[in-house]
Amino acid sequence: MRRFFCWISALALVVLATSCTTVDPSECFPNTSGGFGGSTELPIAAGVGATTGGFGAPPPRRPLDYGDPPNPCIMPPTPCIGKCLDAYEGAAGQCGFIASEVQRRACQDAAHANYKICEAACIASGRCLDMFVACQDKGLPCTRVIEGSLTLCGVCRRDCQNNQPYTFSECYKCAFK
Amino acid sequence: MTTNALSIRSGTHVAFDTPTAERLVKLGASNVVRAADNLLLGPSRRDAQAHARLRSAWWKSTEEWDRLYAPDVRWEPPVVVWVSASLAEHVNLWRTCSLLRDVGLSHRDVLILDLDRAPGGDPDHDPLGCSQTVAYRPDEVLLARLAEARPWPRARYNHAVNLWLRYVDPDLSGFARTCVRGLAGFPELATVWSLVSSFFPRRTRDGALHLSRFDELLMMNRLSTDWRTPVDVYVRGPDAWEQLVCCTGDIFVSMRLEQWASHGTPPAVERSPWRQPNNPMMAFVYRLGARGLALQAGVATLADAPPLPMAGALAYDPLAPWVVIEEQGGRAGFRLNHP
Repeated sequence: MRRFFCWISALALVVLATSCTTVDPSECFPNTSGGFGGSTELPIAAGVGATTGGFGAPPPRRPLDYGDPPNPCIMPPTPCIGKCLDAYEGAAGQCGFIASEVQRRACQDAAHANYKICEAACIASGRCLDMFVACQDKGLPCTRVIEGSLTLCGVCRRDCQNNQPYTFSECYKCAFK
Repeated sequence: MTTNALSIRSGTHVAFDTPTAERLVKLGASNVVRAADNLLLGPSRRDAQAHARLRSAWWKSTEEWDRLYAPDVRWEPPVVVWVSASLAEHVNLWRTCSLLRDVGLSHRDVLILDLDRAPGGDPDHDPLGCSQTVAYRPDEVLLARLAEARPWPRARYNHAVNLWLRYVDPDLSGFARTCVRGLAGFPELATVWSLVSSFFPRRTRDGALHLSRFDELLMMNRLSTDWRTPVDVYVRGPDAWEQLVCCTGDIFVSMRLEQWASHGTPPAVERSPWRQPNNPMMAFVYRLGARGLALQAGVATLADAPPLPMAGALAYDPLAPWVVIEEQGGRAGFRLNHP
């Protein structure tokens, strides 16, 4: 009887644990902290502090890929962010072969930092593109040709994409922020 | 600082885009010549007047983006030429060197400030560096570079002039060979040729003709049987497309669509008026017609595609049928097509 009670308790714990980690799609809420489009999976220092994936063992394929079911709240990455993830995967994979734990963690931290830079560039790039499309929709004078092969919208996008101040203050009137 | 300020006030400054020209004026330059045309596209000629005339017709514009050949320019030495990492600016640099020699200036009178790629931004978006501009550099960097400016050695300057002469030659094979072989002091050549050759039709080892890389992407990826504006076509393409249009600019996409829609009976690309008649990027919508769909299967003759002036040559010219020879996906030559 006592053994049966223990078995029931253990089962209840498993059910409880499963229900706590399973996300229902209806419970998703917008990610307001990630800025524009910041809704992809976030590699949180893969392997840092993790007890799995010791020397020589392959690291998790994806930063949060520890065999959990896919989270329905997480949007699939854009192709640009997909490339960042691929680069991360390659870099983190190499880190897994470092014998020294301290060096391995430093390597993983660097891979993660590079991923974040790459992801931020992707998000900014997508934002520039969205503003370019909105700029074109405004028509003249936003769409006038500035020089040779670029419209004003094109120049504003070029500045935005290069993370530089807008050359023309009109960019602000033409959907660029 | 005083020396720099004096330096920038003296001589003639050549800027290859509007932001740089305006910036130099703000820094104190009084004689700035803007030469902002993108010569990676469209016709280029050795003769200054013919060149200016053709460029004006190519852009269908009388705007003075490019005053390199303007008769009222005073070429007071030293002439300081400001160049970013942009490919288009390097082509303009060769042209400027050629012109300055024609007007009688020695290479010793010309100071070329060749800037590396500016830090920041998304390198994936523009791996060829086409969206670079001198104006992205802070004032202190520009003034420091000016203070260190020295003329190029005669041999290097001569190479720049010769590059322009090869670029405007109707036989582009000499330019292609130079780019592939490489030239000390001109690391941009391989990339320039990689870009320019993307607008010429291709022939594979089996003798089959193919559209240029640009047109292939346009016809097989960016266009479909659904109506699309040039904006739709321009944005969110595959990487290969993004790299090309980053160098062509947005307007060229609408120009090439227009050329396709006006070529042949019936044209391969169909066109219908759209919302903004005065905005070339939204004036029409385009889609593939039956001939366009057939082209996806292959090109029968060079006349299937609208001709495209490129440098001194004409892509898809049945009379001078230049083709890029491709072997196993790589570019293995550039020659007249002899089936």
